[in-house]
Amino acid sequence: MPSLQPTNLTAQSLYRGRGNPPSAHPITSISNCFPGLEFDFRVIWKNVFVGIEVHEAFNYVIDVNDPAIAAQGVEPAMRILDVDGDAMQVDVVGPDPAGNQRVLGDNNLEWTNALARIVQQHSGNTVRCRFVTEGAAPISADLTIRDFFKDGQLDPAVIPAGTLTQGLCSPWQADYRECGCYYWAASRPDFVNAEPDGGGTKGHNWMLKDRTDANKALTDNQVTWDRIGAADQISYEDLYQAWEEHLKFIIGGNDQS
Amino acid sequence: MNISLPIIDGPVATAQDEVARISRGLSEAFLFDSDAGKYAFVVQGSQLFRTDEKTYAMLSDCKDDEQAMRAALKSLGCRLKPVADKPVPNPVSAISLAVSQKCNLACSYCYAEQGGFGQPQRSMSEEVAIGAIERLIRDVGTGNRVNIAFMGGEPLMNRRVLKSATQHAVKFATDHHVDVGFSITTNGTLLTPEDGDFFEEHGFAVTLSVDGLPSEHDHARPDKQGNGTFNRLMDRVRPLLRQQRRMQVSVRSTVTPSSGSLVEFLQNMIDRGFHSVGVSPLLSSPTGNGEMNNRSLKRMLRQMIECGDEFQRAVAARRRYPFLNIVNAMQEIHRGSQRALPCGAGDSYVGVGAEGDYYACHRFVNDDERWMGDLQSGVSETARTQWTSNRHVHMQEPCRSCWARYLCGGGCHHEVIHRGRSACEFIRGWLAYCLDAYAKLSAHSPWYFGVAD
Ligand code: SF4
Repeated sequence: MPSLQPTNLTAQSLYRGRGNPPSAHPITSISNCFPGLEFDFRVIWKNVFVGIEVHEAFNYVIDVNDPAIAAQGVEPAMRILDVDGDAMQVDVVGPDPAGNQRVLGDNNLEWTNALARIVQQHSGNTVRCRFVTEGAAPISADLTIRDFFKDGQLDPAVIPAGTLTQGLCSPWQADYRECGCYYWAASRPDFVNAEPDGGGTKGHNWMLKDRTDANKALTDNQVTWDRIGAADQISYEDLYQAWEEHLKFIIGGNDQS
Repeated sequence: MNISLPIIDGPVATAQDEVARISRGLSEAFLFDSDAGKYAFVVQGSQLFRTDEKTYAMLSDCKDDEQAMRAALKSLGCRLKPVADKPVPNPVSAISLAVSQKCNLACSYCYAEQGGFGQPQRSMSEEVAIGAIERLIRDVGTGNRVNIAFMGGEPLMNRRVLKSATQHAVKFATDHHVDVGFSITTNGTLLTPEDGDFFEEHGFAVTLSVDGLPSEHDHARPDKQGNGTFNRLMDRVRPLLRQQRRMQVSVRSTVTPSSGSLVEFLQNMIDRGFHSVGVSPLLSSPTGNGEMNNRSLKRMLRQMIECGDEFQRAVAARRRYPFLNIVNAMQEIHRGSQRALPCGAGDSYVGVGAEGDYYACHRFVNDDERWMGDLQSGVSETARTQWTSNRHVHMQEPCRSCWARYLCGGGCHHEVIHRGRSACEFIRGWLAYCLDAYAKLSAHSPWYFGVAD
């Protein structure tokens, strides 16, 4: 069967592999790949380090399969601090309500950016990584970067067909709460019904079941993804059964009844 | 290497032959058979694909029919990326200042006719230089980067304005949160150690015009008394070569029919410690002196290929060989650059003459037809839009149907306007060689492109 093997960067980014639908290509898709409508790249990242399983959202170690890596001190529930000297999380600096610049917290970087150099330069090689458990000193370990690209494409021998789509939300309504930081769906604000309050604002997390209760109003920086799954939030079942009723339309930042 | 076009030997094609030969399937894809395999360079999107025998044969069958070629490429999963007919104008982010429209040398082929561009010699005032710099920085806006190139004539004949303009630019750019880079093109004969300190302090890209080994250079670039200048400029540049940290000192060489061995010249310059060496053929000179003809262009292409082969050997041995023409070509092919214009002239870059008039580039200073406004009213958007639309490669013949159009962009405006497209075989021959070199390099030395091997 005739075929083309993309060689330079434009060929790699424009070529559509045999059998893939148009939406398999970032240029012709919604291309939110975290988790995404067309494919979920997190499933690739899960195995980016040989011998351990990780989750992109929290730089989180899910499992350690290789005793040699465990022997270096890597354990489940650790978080990755940096890889070959490249930070995987950064301090977020911004103005507080008084207008002073300060560290507002730390944020995990998206791996598609943060690991780009590592994957490009070190696939198949071993790099020094640092891991941390809350409250403890970081440890260092040498891990191998899985070589999952071949000629600019995912290597079917490493990433079998179907991998990219196996974890897509089904039914699709799950997407409303699937994303780690409330930015899906992108056109939905994650902070609604906001009112001035003292020097700042108070409002509701848009995933709250009851967004009329003034007692549940929080300041903007209290509305975080930490509360995903709390009992007072809209559940997957709620979304599957009556997503329109629960989510409503938000117009001008406010719930429409 | 078996490139499908007869590039080195064979009869010289006329422009009409060119159109007839290339205006079919080859305007969509250029096929070549390399030591690394069989390849298709897809013109729209500057995409390079390795193919198997069967695919290569299938595409070869479409060589005479561009519609069939497009359909075949699409059926293989290739997405063509058209270049818009109207270029989106880029903001002006670079200017050259002809600080000195005079020169202490008397190079026979000089486009600036010893600096005066056919008119009385003059120098740019501080007021004009600063006015042009302030306008550039103000217009480009916070957070962006500008480049200021000092040109001539010989810019060091107006050292005072060069220095004060640089210092002013640094301060003005800092106040406006704009990054600024500097460059200078000089004949090198007036350089002083203090110039070296100044260029190092401001991170200048210093380009020296050196036209070959001593005897060739002395012949091409004598001073006004007819004396050679090679030794003088090498003595003067030596301290700068040692000083290079922030500054980069490179060579640009103009090749004429009487030029000697390029590979020897390159090695000589590299051994002296120049940061990089680039060459270009002399295609048009005001007097016709030194212009390259078909025979000498073929010879030059063979010599460039020799240097390119040396570059490939150097990469394989992980050795530096800064032959700029191929280094740049490798990056452009790797990224898949698509240009609607050959360079930034009249688009993101304009030349400023000594009197404060804008021109499409430094070579068009004093050319009324390529005038683009003045300091009082700024670069004329109308002139710029008209220029970029007219000069668009889609508007050029035979470029519109040439497979190399988005890598070449239609050839240097100045040369094309004054002499026509006399070097297409040379350009395509070189690009074909570079595509072949890229194919081999990406297969055997992917590390060169920052990819794990
Ligand atoms: S000038 Fe460049 S694009 Fe135009 S025909 Fe010649 S080689 Fe092709």
